[in-house]
Amino acid sequence: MARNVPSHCRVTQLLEFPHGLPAFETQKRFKLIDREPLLFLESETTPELSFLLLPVALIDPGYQLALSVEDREAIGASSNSGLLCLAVITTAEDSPPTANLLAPVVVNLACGRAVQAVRSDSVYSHKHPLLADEASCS
Amino acid sequence: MLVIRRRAGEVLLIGEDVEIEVLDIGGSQVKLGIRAPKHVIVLRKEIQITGQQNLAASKEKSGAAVDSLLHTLKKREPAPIRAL
Repeated sequence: MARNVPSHCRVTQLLEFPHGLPAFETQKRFKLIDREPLLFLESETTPELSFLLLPVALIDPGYQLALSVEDREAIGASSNSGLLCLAVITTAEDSPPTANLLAPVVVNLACGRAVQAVRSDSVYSHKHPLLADEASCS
Repeated sequence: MLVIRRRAGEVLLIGEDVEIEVLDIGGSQVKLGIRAPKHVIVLRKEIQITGQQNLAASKEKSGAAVDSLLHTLKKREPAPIRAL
């Protein structure tokens, strides 16, 4: 049973990650589950493995990514149209949630292939604070 | 940190069986060639960082943390989601 994904969510699309994800290279098939505005990425073979995602544009509307040739080939994307750019969120009991903007998950909606596109520059953090602008509110 | 100056075509050694050759220097990038035994993992550092972050992100997410995140997001302006 999936521990992490609420049961009333709907499966949006099955995704294939040709290279898996860093640290999870053998996990190549995931379900993308929509719980607007959150998304869950749940392993098809290991349902207890799941990731929480948010559209990058929701975190940083000015976010820009130049996909590498390799990543572009991996997801069969000839242009940027139909690509969804999502950030992996880390939540922990003892620290505020963060988004990995160093390595967004890029999904080609047309064919259901996806890749975690690890940037080579150091423009964006792998621990971007999600609630920074509201830290002072209670 | 040990700092070594090398020109294109020059090589340095790490241990007995790892060789790093500077193949090309151009603009803001250097092109390196690495010769290492199969058991030595050669990885761009940002991939290692992402792997560690993925491990942290894959930990069980508490319902409270997810709900509080949702609550905060609902207070925000909607933004287009299909943009690179």
